[in-house]
Amino acid sequence: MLRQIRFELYKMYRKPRTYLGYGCCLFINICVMLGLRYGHMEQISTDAMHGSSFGLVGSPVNAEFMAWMVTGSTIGSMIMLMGLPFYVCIVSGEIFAGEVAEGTLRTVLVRPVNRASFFTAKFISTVLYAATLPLFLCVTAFLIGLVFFGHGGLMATGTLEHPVLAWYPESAALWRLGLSCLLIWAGATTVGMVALLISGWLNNSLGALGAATMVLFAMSVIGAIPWFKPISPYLFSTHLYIGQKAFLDPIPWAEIWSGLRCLGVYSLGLFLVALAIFRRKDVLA
Amino acid sequence: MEPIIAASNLTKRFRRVLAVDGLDLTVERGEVFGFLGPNGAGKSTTLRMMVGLIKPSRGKIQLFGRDVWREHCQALRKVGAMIESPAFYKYLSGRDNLRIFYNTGANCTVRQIDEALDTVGLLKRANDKVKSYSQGMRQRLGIALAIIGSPELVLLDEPTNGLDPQGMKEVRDLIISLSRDRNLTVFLSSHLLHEVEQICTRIAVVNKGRVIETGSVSDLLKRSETYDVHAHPSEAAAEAIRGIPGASIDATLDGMFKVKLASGTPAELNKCLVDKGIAVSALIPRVASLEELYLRLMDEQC
Repeated sequence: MLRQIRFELYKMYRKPRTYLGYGCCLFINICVMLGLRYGHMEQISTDAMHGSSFGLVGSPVNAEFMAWMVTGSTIGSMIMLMGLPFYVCIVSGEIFAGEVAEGTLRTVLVRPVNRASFFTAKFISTVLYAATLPLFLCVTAFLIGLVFFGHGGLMATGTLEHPVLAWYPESAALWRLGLSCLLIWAGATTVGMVALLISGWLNNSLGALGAATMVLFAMSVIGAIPWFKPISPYLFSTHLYIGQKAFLDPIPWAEIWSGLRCLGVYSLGLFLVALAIFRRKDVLA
Repeated sequence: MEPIIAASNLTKRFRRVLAVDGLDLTVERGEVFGFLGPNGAGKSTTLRMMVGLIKPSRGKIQLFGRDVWREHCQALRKVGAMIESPAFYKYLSGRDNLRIFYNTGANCTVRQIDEALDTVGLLKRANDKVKSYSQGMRQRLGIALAIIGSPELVLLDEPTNGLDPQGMKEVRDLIISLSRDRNLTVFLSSHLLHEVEQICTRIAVVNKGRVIETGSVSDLLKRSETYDVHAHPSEAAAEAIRGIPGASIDATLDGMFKVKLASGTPAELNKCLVDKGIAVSALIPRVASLEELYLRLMDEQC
């Protein structure tokens, strides 16, 4: 199994499209850095606090703040909804359907390979890739911030549901950023699993990407309609912003666990369904 | 001895299409077995069921006594296969492709990979990306993958597809030498009848998902053997031939009869004609080619 995972990762990282997500993360970070350096972008965070009557004197901008901007702020929300899932889906949709389209799945499966372990290796590779994207986003933001702004404590403004103005010392800021990355990973993994399932089903990487994105947007829209409020906690899209909760004080652990449980059930369920389909699948291409 | 390949009542239905219909087949150790049939006869579907790519709707197929679908890994442990045109990761080198594909299911050393590449004449291009390979080179790489690690059974689907005449001959020679030197069992699906005739020891002809003829190549060709009989007077000769048990006239041309003998020998045929006062000026055996046999079988099916 370990060897299969190694091969999957090797194949994954030999494809240029795998680096699109990292490139996008880097581009976002450079834009945010330029925005912070020349456009007083930090005010966005305080503007988001509706009804607040304070003004910001001085600058909270540093490496920690920049990393928070791309993971915990409203800009971070946009990235969580549109950026990371898209790039995870590009890779997870391709990881299976790409092999079918190119006929390499046939070449692999005529070897004495256990379908379940082969599929699980692909699943784990997707999960690992989904982990590297938020980590790369956060770490490069921090490093760019470190070069241009230095480091220090973190000013964070919470979420739309929980608007707070919090100041964390440097050490607390770092572990909260780490926690945020872990929580974002859970959300990215779930979206990746949707793409993986559809990829195995449709045998088409573009179809998997489109369908997974459609599912994500449909769930996001449903979650935003008040009439659907009762089912909202059960939609995985509701928990995609779970990483932002790492910057609240106190940290709402109950909400985080509930979100993680929902994402975990979705990921596991989607994986099991995809595995069941794959084990019985006729390889005709 | 247990057959290497044993298919019994193998059936595959794709919704309304019956691709393979109760196919029975056995291949013994050391045979070079040819699998013939027109397009859509069910050859590829059978081969795919043979390596576990497709699940049979009914019946079963065993390799080395193991059910391919239920005991996939054990059944394919000693099998090398190339199904249809070989597909590789174009962005990886030939050597990397062999390393990844082979080691996904088993273990092999760099030396074994290089040996296989050398056997198919690709060692010098081993580090080049597959996207720079020609169709023929990809075909050779597919064969290399099939023969790594000394398999006991090799399944090849159109192995000379895309090769130039020299390459086709090399592949044919390779298959013959593998079978002879390593006692390898080869299952070969091909449209090239002369290729099958040169390589295979036994064949099965399939049509509409069923085996319509099977046997050793020499036996099948012998069964299709005819004799050109030049005899005079021709009317009396025709009547005499029709009166011989097991003999039939396939065609008549300018006093020459194309005679098929289901039983008896040409000497008996000659004696019978001479005894009836018919002068036999020539009795020439005509061995049918596999192509003629194949076309006759297909005609019979229509």
